[in-house]
Formats: sequence, C-alpha cells, structure tokens
Amino acid sequence: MSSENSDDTLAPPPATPTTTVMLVEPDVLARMVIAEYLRGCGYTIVEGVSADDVFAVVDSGRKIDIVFSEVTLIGEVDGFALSKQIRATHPNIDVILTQGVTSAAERAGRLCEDGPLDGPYHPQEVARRINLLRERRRTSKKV
Amino acid sequence: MASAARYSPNGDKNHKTVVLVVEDEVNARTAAAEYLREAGFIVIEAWNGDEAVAIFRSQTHIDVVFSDVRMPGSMDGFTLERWIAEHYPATPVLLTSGVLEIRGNAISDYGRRFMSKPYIFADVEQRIRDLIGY
Repeated sequence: MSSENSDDTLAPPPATPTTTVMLVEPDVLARMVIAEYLRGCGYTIVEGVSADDVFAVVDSGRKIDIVFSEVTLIGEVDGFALSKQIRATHPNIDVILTQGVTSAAERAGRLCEDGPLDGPYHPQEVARRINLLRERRRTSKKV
Repeated sequence: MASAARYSPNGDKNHKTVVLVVEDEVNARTAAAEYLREAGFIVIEAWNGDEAVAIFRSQTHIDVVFSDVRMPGSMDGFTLERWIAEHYPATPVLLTSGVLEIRGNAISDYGRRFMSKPYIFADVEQRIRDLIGY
C-alpha cells in the first residue's frame, strides 16, 4: 500500500485484516498444495470444490475477498458461470480463474507477490509438487 | 488450547501433528479446520472419502483422521475407516455424525472414536490428542 505522505515520523498504518481467498479446486491434490502455498503467503484460505460451496460460504456471512477458481468444477456450474454469478451478485469479490496446474501455479505465484508474506517457495514448485503427488497416487493404485 | 507440536519419531522437534478433516459441508469443514489450525495442528481438508484415499495414496503423511460418516462419493465414513485400518493401521480415525442410528448399533462399537454432532471444537481437539497419545 503506497502513500503520498513520506513523513517517516507518522504512526504505522493500521493493520489490515487478513485477505481471505476462497480456493475452488476439484482436484484434492492440487487444492492441498495451492492452499498450503497461499497460506504460506499470509492469506486465509477457505477451500471448496464447487460453485455451491462458494455461495454456501458467502451466504453464511463469511467475508470472501477473492475467489480463486479452476474452470472445471464439481456440479453443474463451471468456473466461467461462477465468475459471472459472483460479479452480478457480489461485485466486491475479485475472481481469478485458472485452467490446469500450470495456470494455477502461475496465478498463485502472482497472488503471493501481492500477499502479506513472501512465498514459502517458488511458484514453479507448486506445479512440481502437485505433479509429484499425482504420480505417487497413480503408481500406488497399481499396488 | 495447547500447541500441537510434538516430537516426531525421527527426532524433528518441530514436527506438528497432521490432521486430515473429511467433511462435505464446506462451512462445517472450514470451521473445524480453522479451529484445529489455531490449536497448532497442520490440517489437510478433504471433501469426501475418495479424496481422503487420494491423499493417502499420494504418500502424504497423516497422523490422525477426523471424518464425517455421511458423505457423497463411493464410501461413507465407516468404509473410509475400514480402508485406513487395512492400509494404514497406525493412523487413528475419529468419526462424527449427526445421525445416531446409522447402521443400527455400529456407532456404539466406536466408543471414544465417535463424536455426535453438533460437537464442541475443544472436545474434538481433546479427543484427537487422546487418540494420538499427546
């Protein structure tokens, strides 16, 4: 947050409440890694798998600042339609749409740059970790 | 609310207990997960039993599971508990449900490994600590 007033003797700016990101991702391994990464960047993360989850949380009165959503979701509403609904009903909520792990990792990295803390690791590591977990799951099914 | 940090078998003094919370209702899951994170646990969230199995199969370390009984997907909490007992017998499972008559008297067999809804978060935390012996 920038200020035109450069007087260093002023009291520090008031603490801002934690930004809450609703992460909507139907792949549990991707969601687990991205959620951990964004929490490490200082965000409060609420996890969901569907548009219904988003509206259940918002309707509960919980303040959501950003919806970070995969395009393909569980349920009848996809990320595009979810984004449209949110913009119509809750224009104060920002929406970030992603498609696939690479896109999600890249957008998470950019979100982290704007976050209150330095990222726990490079955003490229997000995609690598997701792919590693997916590979482990795939090979364990053969056992 | 005490810290959940504990000594790990490999001597890592900073090892924190990892709790897998399995619950399909997003607000219930989020509330439980946030309470347990505040209590010092590392919390992983799953929407249903299938997601929980996927997490185990990815070789992610889990110390204890806190799971709802009635969930969408191919397995309910009882089935998930049996799967974990077969594949990860050292990992305790704490089940919860708001419906007490599920499968007749089955719930009574679970004793301290079952909590009825609605539950008090502090009781969940204590029950988890009891299950992991910390």
